[in-house]
Amino acid sequence: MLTQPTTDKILLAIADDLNSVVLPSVTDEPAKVLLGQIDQLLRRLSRRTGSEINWMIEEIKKINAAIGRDNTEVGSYLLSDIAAAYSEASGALGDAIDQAFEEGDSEQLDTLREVLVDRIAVEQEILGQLDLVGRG
Amino acid sequence: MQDPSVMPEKIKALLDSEGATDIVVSEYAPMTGGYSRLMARFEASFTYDGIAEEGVFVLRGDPPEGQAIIETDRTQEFSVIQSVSPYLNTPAARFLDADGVHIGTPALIIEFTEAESTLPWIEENGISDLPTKLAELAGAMHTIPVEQLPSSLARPVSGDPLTDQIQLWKQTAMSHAEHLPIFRYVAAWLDKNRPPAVPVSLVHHDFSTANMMVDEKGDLVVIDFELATVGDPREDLGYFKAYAQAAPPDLIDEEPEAFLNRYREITGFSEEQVNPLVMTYFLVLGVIGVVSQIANVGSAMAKGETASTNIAFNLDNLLFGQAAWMAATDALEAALDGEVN
Repeated sequence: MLTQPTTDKILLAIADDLNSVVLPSVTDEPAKVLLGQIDQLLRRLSRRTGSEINWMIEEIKKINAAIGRDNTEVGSYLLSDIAAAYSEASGALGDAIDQAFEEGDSEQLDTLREVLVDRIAVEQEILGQLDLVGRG
Repeated sequence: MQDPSVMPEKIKALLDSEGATDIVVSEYAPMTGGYSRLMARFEASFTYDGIAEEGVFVLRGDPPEGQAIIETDRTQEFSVIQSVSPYLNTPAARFLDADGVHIGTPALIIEFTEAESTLPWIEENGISDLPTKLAELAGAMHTIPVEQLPSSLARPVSGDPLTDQIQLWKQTAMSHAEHLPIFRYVAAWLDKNRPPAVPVSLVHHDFSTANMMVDEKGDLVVIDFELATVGDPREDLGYFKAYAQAAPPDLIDEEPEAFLNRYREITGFSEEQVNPLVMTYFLVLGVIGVVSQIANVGSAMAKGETASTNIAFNLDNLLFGQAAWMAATDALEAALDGEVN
């Protein structure tokens, strides 16, 4: 397969063309709003697609360390497999959060919260600037 | 609803079924700004109950099945608008097509308001006395006698609105297409840090500048009651602040004491019941009504049951929310620990 240009670059090119070529020729207001949403989504997807598998694998390791669980290899680099493993680890993290709150274990809560804060940092990197396209 | 060539006849059919005569419908045009429903404006003249009327109206209907980012009921929205109209500055609801027999989708017709969208108005006129006007609007909404509201409006199942909302946080975390540990942290944190209770009231649930306009007198007009329930009124204050983080300015933060004093004066709530810390608590708690709906439809898209750009776009907005909620719990922890005032 041809890997270059990578998916993130192609998505950016599509977003740029939609913005500079398609959008100026559109007069229908709902269609303009939709194009604005598509533009933002494509730019976020461009930021996300290059790194999401690595982000999930790294966060699974952090979660396992925080909840005292051994790391196991996912055994596949398919996006669906990694996402399933990430969701499972997220569920285990949620269980640990509930338990720490119930037990009033503030030290463990601080540790678990750090994992969430790191997750949010990644999410913000993907999100970029928020523009509530279509709201008054 | 997007086809101006067929809609005037459909609107005529609805008005005719309601007993209107001499009906003329023109200038039908789809509108933007409806987040979850399809909207269009049109001009109409007709005679109803023996009175000749002429004006501009808004048609507000459900999008095609599977494309709504939020599932709500037009009949309930219609009855809520009718019940709050005597108390609030809101455009009157006039006609309802509950089953979509005439319009092709469940829809209601509301009077059009010439009031200006809030954010452009602020850009042009500045903040002015909007913080006080906002307190008066929120106070008016939250003191409508609950017995005047439609009986179909959801009441707290557990009897306690905070318990219900916290349960909704947990339920949303557990039923989503993937595990949501930040939601579970937020739910547990909210449960641990409950503020003193207040009497239940109407809660708008999308109380934001996006659903407000400023009329020619400088008064705030509130619209869009599709998510309204009976619950803890402070949810609306928190939601307002949460939304303002994404779409500033935060009118409450502009003059917090003026806002709170006026709001307490109207509602009779104490300083312990409504203060800046409590509002921050509700900044987190109060968004779950909308958030759960967005998450649910996102789950449906993940399972292949539906798909649209709008759904994906709104799911991304939850990422912004997660950062805001965690920052708010952080700030409140610090305040409750006495680190800040």
